[in-house]
This record gives sequence, structure tokens and C-alpha cells, in this order.
Amino acid sequence: MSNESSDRLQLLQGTLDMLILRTLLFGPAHGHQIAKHIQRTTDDLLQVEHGSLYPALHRLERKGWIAARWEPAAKDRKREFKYYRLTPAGRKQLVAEESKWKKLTGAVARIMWPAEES
Amino acid sequence: MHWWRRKVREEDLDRELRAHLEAEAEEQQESGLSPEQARFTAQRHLGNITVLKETVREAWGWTSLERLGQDVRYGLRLLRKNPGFGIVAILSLALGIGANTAIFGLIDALLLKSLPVRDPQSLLFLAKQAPQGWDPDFYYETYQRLRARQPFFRELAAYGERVRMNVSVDGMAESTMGQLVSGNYYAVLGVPPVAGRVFTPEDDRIPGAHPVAVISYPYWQRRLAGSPGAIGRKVLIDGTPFTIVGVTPPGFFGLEVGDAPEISVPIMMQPQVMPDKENWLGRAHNTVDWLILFGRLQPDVTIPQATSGLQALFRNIQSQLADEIGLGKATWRQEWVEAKLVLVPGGAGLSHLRRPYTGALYVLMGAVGLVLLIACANVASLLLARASARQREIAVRLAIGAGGARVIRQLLVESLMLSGLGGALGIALSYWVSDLLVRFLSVGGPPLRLDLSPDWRLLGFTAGISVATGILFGLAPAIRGAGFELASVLKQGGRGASPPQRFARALSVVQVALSLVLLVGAGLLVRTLHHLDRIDAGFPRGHVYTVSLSPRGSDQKNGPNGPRLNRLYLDLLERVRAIPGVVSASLAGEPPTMRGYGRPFRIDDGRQVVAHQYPVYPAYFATLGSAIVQGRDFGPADMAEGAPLVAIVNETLARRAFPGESPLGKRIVCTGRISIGESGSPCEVIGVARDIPYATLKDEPRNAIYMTFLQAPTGRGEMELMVRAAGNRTGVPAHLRREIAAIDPYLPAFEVRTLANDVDAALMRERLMALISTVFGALAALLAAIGLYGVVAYSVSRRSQEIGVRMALGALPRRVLALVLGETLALAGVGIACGLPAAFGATRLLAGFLYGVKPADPVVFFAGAGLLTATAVIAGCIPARRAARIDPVAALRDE
Repeated sequence: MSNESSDRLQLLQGTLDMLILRTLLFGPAHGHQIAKHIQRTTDDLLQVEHGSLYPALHRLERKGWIAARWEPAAKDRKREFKYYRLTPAGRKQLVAEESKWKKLTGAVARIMWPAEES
Repeated sequence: MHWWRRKVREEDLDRELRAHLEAEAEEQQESGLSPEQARFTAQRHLGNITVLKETVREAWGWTSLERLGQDVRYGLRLLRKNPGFGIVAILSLALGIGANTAIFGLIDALLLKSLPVRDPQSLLFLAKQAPQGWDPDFYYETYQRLRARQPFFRELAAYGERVRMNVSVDGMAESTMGQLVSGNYYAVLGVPPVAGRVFTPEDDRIPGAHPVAVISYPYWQRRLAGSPGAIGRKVLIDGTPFTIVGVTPPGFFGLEVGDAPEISVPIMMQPQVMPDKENWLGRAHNTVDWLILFGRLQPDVTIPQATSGLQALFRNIQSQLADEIGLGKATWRQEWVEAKLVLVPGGAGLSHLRRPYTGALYVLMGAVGLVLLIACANVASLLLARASARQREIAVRLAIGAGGARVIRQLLVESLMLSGLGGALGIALSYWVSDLLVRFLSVGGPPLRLDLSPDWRLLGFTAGISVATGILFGLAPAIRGAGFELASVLKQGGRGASPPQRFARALSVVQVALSLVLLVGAGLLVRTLHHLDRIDAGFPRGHVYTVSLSPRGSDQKNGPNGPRLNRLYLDLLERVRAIPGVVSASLAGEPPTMRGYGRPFRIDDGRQVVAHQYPVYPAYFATLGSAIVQGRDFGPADMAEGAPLVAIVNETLARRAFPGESPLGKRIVCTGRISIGESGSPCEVIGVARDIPYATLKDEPRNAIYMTFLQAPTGRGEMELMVRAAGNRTGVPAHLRREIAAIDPYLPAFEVRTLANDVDAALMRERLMALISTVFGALAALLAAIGLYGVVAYSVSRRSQEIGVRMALGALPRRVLALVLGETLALAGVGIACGLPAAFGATRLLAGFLYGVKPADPVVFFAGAGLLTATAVIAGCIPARRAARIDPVAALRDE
């Protein structure tokens, strides 16, 4: 995979947390699923560094926004994965992050394309 | 975070990452890669696992704790590697911290701890202002009227002096400490019973009508096996049957710190539990002040309001009482009526120990504080020496990227570990030391009961000084340790570039100076004790036996008991004098070491003198090793009923009251409140006795007047039998016991002491201070010697090449020896020079504890300096001899 970095976007600082929370809104998922989901939903545009995913998951868990439990996989009952789920606090946090993100992108858009505004 | 939880999380993370890798590899395989390649790609996607794990751990947020754990483990490993260093450091810290904790524990127990009662801070004692502090004792009738009429306290409660009661449970008699309390005592204190009930005002109404007792928890456990059946049990107290109605809580010991009365009875039972005393509930003409009053103020009353209100009420009540009792114009009427009242905060209780021991405890606290400083300096110089040995290790750590802060933290953690271990050991040590001190203080008196259980204040104190010492001795070496010139250290191949020698020398000088302060203080206290011990040089105190007796009814004045008791005492004296080996025997109202009370007397020409009055039997002076220097001793004729009143004065009174003339034949009238001799009836002086020093060991000799008992209108109360035995006779005490039992089987339990015991008890504080300060002075000198040795030995090891060169060039070993010893002595000399002015300043604080020696006593200063110099020579000898034996060839080849 030599064409990796050129057409893929680096994640903005702090965005990963929001994406994880949003992903978990669909239901519990383990680390690999979360990474794949983000990647696929963005048509492989956003490459989640697997190496930065796990520290983020553990950080969110410590803040109490997500909770984790070992459970057998849906497809293969013999294999267990550590499934993360959203907590009520995480839901609230997601709303907050989302509105923050909207404000930020809106502001950036107004500067970048002032004509389209009017 | 606990290590096992950490382990669980680590395993959990491993498992999670493994699962991820498997899932990813499977996916890669599905897209057509070989299993090998798939695994490899999955790994590559995940990146550096070690770094990943480290980042996750950081997300767990406990890495600083983990790092602390690493530091601690590393420190422990170092300690194990070099146990000698650890043992010396921890032991010297344990001694310092333990001594501080023990003394602070005593201060805490005696002065600071709150009483175990409800809201101790609002408790107030009512007292009369006295020349020294205050006097808390009130007359019974004063209490009754004050309580009934005062509106300031919610209630005014009282308790009486401690009473030795002869209590028998199931026919087993035992002498027990008891007290008399008012009916509202427990309610005012807010002390609930743990079994049965406590007294109510109904239990304290009619004299002699309330034979009920409340017992302490320890007594309940000890004598009645903690049985619930104890409530309602009958016990005999001094022959009167009492019913036990309740038990107080385990921690409650009354209001007097240091005492723990085991049985309490209502004040109304005073005549029953003190059969040898007069009835203090009546309005006798000898007005005994014996009740201590306390209470809590009404919510809206301030202390100044209450004080001035009580003052007016008190004056009113006292003058009424003075008229009722018929004091007339007695000279002390004014003293009785005009006493100035004060309200004293009672949260920490009262204690007869506070006045003599408060100052002493603070002085000792200062001394142990110095010891701790010296111990700190010692550990600091040990750490310094080690830090320079570890220079290379630290330099390597700095070179591979450890921050300076990280190195400092590592070194601080190590020193805090040392002080923590020292503190833990010190607490254990302090238990033992304070137990020893309390036992020491209990010699010759009723056992001292102090609550020495550690409270938050004591534990906080120990933790505080442990941390403070850890930082104090650890910081300097730590900062030095982290501040190396990296390159130069590494280049030098492990030999330190700029060793912290100057700092270590300064520490050594400080140690010597502080030790000098301690040694001089100890020397002064030891000389004081020596002076006090020599007061009656040549008189064998060990051969004078003293026995306290209190026969039943012995102070009922003018009753049928008078003649019976007189016969009993004379008979007893006769039998005792017949014991083989007894040289002389006499009786007195109090032991010779008691200070007694000053009373005003008028000499027949109208002059007033204050003198201490002692009631005695004939042969008192001969028995105590004193002598009649003029006139005669009391004789049998003076003991007869209706004999003329006679008195003996001591030399001091003779000299002051009758300068230049003979006091014999002069007349003296007691004008004050008296226990002996009708007020106003003159006594003829028949003799002059040499001063007896025991009662005034620490003061100037005082005026004293001796009179006989038989001329007294009141009884005797407790009597002291004194017996002087020939030096070579043993078995006199056993014989004495037999004779006393034969005379009166009803005499309560007594013990035979010696005058030496009594004097020791009277000099307890001086003995204790001299002993403790000597022990700590010696300890300080030892620590200073170790410090000196360390510094000099280190300097010799560093200078071995230089010394080798000198010897190769022809210096004699003697010369090298002198060189090293000179270095040691120079250090000690500077220390002594700094210590002398410090000691000069510090010993002024001791002035109040000294007798017969000035705070700036040159002998003591000289001896202290000499002792330290000798110590320094010994400390310097070992490294000096090692230096003199250096083989120049070997030392040079080492280069």
C-alpha cells in the first residue's frame, strides 16, 4: 500500500473523540469495528491510525463517556472482543462536541467562501 | 492504584490489542494476502506496540504514581545493597523522631488533649486568684450558697479532692483512689453511663443519706469482671456499705489529668468515706477549702459578666459565712472574703502536674528538637557522601535523558523513605520511652494515669516532622546531585569533580555546635541535681523509714477519740523504739518533704512573721538527723493534757525574728487560720532546731515553727511515723509492720518507705530532667562524632594520592597523623566556637530549673567543650591512622 498517505486526510486534533462517540451511537462496537466504520463511512478518506485509536478509547473510558465489557462476537460466538458502549454522559458530550464542531466549521466556511453566504 | 489492578489492566490491554490484530489480519487475508503477510500488515497498521501501550497507560492517568513506585522500588534496592548506610540513617532518625514523639506525646496528654466530655471547650472552672496562678478550692458551704444563688452558669457542679478509700468487694479489701462529686457532676459534664445510671441531684441532698457509688470502667473490668450484675452490688467503703449504681465510659477519667479515680461517691458522703477527717460538710471553725467548682455559662452570658457577677455574690456569701462562723476580726478574714475570682477554661481539665512539669517539658522538647536536627545533619552528610559516590550513576542517568527534576525527585523519594522508616520505628520507640517516663514519674506517689494513646495531633506531629526531616536532609544532597557538570563527571571516570565537601564540613560544624548546647544544658542540670542531693551530706536517708498512718476517727477534735489516740500513738512509739536496731522514732503531721502552708504569727512585741507550722512528736529532730542547737526538744511533760503551750523554732526563724538575742522564753501567737493551737493563745519558745532542708530542697530555707499535737484542739488526720535505724540492721521494715498491726488491726493498709524514696519523689522533676538531658547530650555527642568521622574519613580517602605523594617525598607517618587529626580538631574547634555563644544564650532559658549553679557556669562550659574535643580526637583517630598507613607506592600507582 504505497499510495497510503497522499489522498487521505489527517484527522484534526480532538476530532477523533467525537467520531468515536458518534460511531458508538449506533450501538456497542469493539476497537477494530470502530476503526473500520470510520474508514468505510468516509470511503477510506479518513484513515484512523490504529495506534491513536486505543489511547483515545481508554481516555474516553476514564472520563466516563464510554464503558467497556468483554463479550463474545456476534458472528463467531467463540471469540471475545472488548465492546465499548456510549454512557449517558457520553451522549451529552457528543451533543456538546457536535454543536462545537458545527460552530467551528460554520465559522471556517464563512471565511473561506464569503460569496456563497449571501 | 494497586499493582494487582495495574496487572489486570495490562493483561486486558494485551488481550484487546491481540483481538484487534487477529481481526485485522483476517480482513487482510480475505482481501487476498497470505496469512504471513496479513499478520505483518496488521502489525504495521497498529504501529509500535510499546509506544502505543505507553500512550494508553498515560491515558490511564497513573503514571506519576507508577513512577513513584519505581522510585520507591529503586530506593529499596539501593538500601538493600548498602544496608550499613540504611541502618545508621534509619536508626539515628528513629532515635530523633522517637524522642520527639515521646516528649510531644507527654505534652499532648498533659496539656493539650481535650477532656472526654461533651463540648469540652465550653467548660469553665471557677477559681481564686493566687500569687502563683490560681487556687481552685472552695469551702463546702460557699459552694452550696453559690450554686443556689448564681444565675450565670447553667449549673454549678463540684468535686472534691481525691480520697484514698478502703474498698472491700466480697470481703477483699483494697486501697482504691476515689473522689467525691456533686449530684449534677455527670449531667454538667455530659458523661452518660455505660451501665446502670450516673448520679442525679437527688443523690446528693442529705449528709450521710446517699450510700451510692459510680465506678470507673477500668475498675468495673478489673474488680467486677465487667459483669452487668455489678449494678446493685454492695461494697464496703471504709466500713460503710455502698451500692454501685453505675459505670462511667471507658475513656472517662474525671477532670484531673494524670489521676484516674476509680470510685465516685456523692459529696454528702464525705464523713463516711473520710472517717479519719473531720466532717467537712458542717460549719466547723476550721474552714477547709476542698471543692473544685465548674460549669458551663448560660448561652447569653459572657465570661467578664459572669466573673464580675460571681465576684459580688462571692464577697456577699463569704462575709455572711465569716459572721456565722464567728471569724470576728481574724486577720485572714479579709483574705477569705476578698479573694478575687477568675474563670479558667476547663477544656483540657486540671492537673497538679502542670505547674511543675510544663516548663520542664518544653525545655525537653527543645532538647529533643536539637537531637533531631543533629540526626538530620548526620543523615544529610551520609547522603552527601553517598551522592558523590553515586555521581557517575546520576551523570549517566542525566546523559540518557532523565530530567534534572526527575533525578531530584528520585533522591527526595529516597530520603523521604528513610525518614518514613525512621518515623515508623520512632513511633514504636516513643511508646516505650513515654511508658518509661510515666513509670518514672509515678515513683513514690500514686500511679500516674495519662492517656498516651496517639490522637490526630500526635500522629500529625510525627508525620509532619518525618516529612520535614526527610526534605531537610534530603534536599541539599538532591540539588547538589542533580547539578553536576555532566561532561566533567563522565570524563573523570567516576571520581567526583566538585565533591560537596564544604557542605559536609559545615554540617559537621553545626552538629558539634548543637551537641555543645545539649551537653552544657545537661551538665547544668546534672550539677543542679548533685547540689540538691548533697543538701544533707553525710546523713543516711536510706536508714530513715517513713510510714503513713491514718487511724479511724483520728481527726475528730475534742471527742472521746483524743485520749484514745494519744495512748495509741505513745504506745506505738514505745513499741517501735524497742525494735532492735531502731535508734529513734517520732510522729509528725506530714512527711518532711511536704512544703506545708505559711501561717501568720505575732511575736509578743507585736511584730508579724509568716512561718510554716509543723505539728510533731518528741524526737522528731533527732530522727531526721537535725539537732536542737539551743534550748531543749519536746519531752513527755509537754505531751500531757493541760501542759503549757510550747514551740520550737528553726534557725532561720530565730535569726530573722530575734536577731542578736535568744528566742528562748519568747512568746509567739498564731493569728492565722490554724490547724493547731487556739487562735490567739501564745506559745513559749523552748528550743531552736537546725533547719531541716527536705521541704525546701529547691528554695531558700524558710521560717518554721514546731508544736506538739497534744496541745491541739483538732485531731491529727493522717500521721507520718518516722523511724531511724542503725546502719547495719536489716529487717526493721518487717518488724515495723508487725508492731503497727499489733497495735491496731484496723489501721488501713500502709507502706514502709524510706526518706530517700520521699526525697527522690520530691526531686523527681530534677532527676528526670538531668537523666533525659544527659542521655540526649551523650546521644548528640555520639552523632556528632559519627558525623566528624564520616567527613574526615571521606576526605582521607579522596586525598590518599596527595598523602601518598607527601609520604613519598619523606613525610613521616606521625606528620600525616597530625595532619588528619588537625583537620578533625579544626572542624570541632569551629563547632565549639559557634556552640559556646549558642549555649550561653540557650542556658538562660534553663535558669528556673537550676539550683546552686549559674546558667553560665564556667566549669560546665569548659567540661562540655573538653568532652567534645576528646570525642573529636577519638573520631579523628581512626581515619588518621588509616592515612598514616597509606602505602605511597600503591596510592601513586592508583593514579
